[in-house]
Amino acid sequence: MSMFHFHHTGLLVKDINSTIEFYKNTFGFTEVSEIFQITNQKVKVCFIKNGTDSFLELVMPEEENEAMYKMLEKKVNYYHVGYKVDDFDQALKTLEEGTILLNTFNSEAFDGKRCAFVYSREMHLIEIIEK
Amino acid sequence: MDKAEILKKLNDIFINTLDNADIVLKMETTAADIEEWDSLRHIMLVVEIEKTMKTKFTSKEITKFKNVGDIVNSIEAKK
Repeated sequence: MSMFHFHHTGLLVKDINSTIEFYKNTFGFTEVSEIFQITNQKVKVCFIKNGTDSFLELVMPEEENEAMYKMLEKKVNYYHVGYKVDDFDQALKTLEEGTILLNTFNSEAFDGKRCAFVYSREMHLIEIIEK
Repeated sequence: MDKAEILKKLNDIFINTLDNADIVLKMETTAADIEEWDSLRHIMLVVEIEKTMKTKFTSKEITKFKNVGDIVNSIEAKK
């Protein structure tokens, strides 16, 4: 059994509120979290429940977040997957050989718990979230 | 392979990965000196350097890279 439990797919969006309305009205996904401001990442995010223990994370970059706006301009919309782990330190140790650590931070979206972004060498962006 | 040869190979990788033919790397060159060298492209550069130079960096090494010289020295130490 893997230590990594799928949690969400991250979607970059220009307008978080209109995207929430789209998923509510078109797919009937009505369970939507509050909108969190993630200071460290210069984004606002929310979670839309789209299955059992499965979410879409809508990520809207703030104006000064040039890197993410560039991604939006390049039509990079689906850009990461998130996994929850029981043991954050052990998870990063496990990933040390096969991935490249981009950053770690405490996320307002997960009660201040630790998160990390890593890249696979095929440039898949993966978020690790402490349970 | 000495430092100058490694630096020349890195220069080619930077030009191709960052799509900027004007790049001329020095040992003291940092991300602040090259507009296209952002955090995402940094990872792309590392992956391309690993492939081309047939080496592998640890995450700890990668996060400690402060300039091109650090990368050159790390590659040289592994050869």
